[in-house]
Amino acid sequence: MSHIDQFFPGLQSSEWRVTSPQDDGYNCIAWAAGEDDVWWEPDPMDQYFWPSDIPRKSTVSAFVEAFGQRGFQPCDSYEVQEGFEKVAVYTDRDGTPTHMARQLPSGRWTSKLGGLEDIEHDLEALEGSGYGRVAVVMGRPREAVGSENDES
Amino acid sequence: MRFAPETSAHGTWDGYNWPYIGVDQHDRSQVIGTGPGLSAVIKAVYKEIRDYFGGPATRQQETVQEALERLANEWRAETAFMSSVTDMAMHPAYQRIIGMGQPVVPYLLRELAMKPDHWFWALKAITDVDPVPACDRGNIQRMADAWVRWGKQQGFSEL
Repeated sequence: MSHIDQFFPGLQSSEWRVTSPQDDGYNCIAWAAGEDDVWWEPDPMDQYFWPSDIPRKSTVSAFVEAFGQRGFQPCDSYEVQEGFEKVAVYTDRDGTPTHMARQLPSGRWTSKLGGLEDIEHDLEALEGSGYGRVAVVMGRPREAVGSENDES
Repeated sequence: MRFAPETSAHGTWDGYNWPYIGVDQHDRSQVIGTGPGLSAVIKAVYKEIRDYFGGPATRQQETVQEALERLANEWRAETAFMSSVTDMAMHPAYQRIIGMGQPVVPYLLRELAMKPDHWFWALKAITDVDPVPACDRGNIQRMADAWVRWGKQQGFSEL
């Protein structure tokens, strides 16, 4: 058992793989937005990056609004749709966002696990006591060429 | 020093202000407190004794650096997978680091100089300053660099 599936027992019964080394320089929200050199968070101490026009609140609505700036709109399904890229917001039992994941063209998902590695995984495999449950899925048309969200 | 309360020769017992004069038992000419002042002295010494002997013996000799290393290791181990610095900063070990106050600041700055980590909340909470330019928020390396520069300006020469 690795240090990762110790934190996320749901991974133990699913296929997943590490896709990057550990890196403290970015978090899951940044990774969902296609960035790997900044830490996104609407922290109340005003220390980390958050889109300037978006309420600095750790709420689903603020997250939807932040990603709405990037063309994402809430959608009903997390199934892969050709020509669309999707992101998912996990929340705890209080409805506070805890994690985000981004869908790959294959239909699998990629997540940055805090300061740990990126992994490729099934969406539900990260649900549990650590990150809670998937609460919202958002989608936007995938850019035809040079999308920052394409995985090699 | 041992306390030996004695009734003042000058006051009378009124039930509210203890007319005691506390003197050093070994040198009774040394007054160490009177009335409520004596109570405050006793309370302060009691707290000091309790705080020192009340903790684990291993921590009684712990330096600031040792305490930071212990708490930081605990914090990192238990928050590694968290994506929210807000949640990470609420961890009890992180809160204890903030509670260490000004003495821990140079050690936190040294940590940032060696390897940037999420000590920004702690530093801002303790120092009440924020040297990070708004354009650098979220860039962990640049945030660390800003704090290290600030530390050098404050005279922390070991950075």
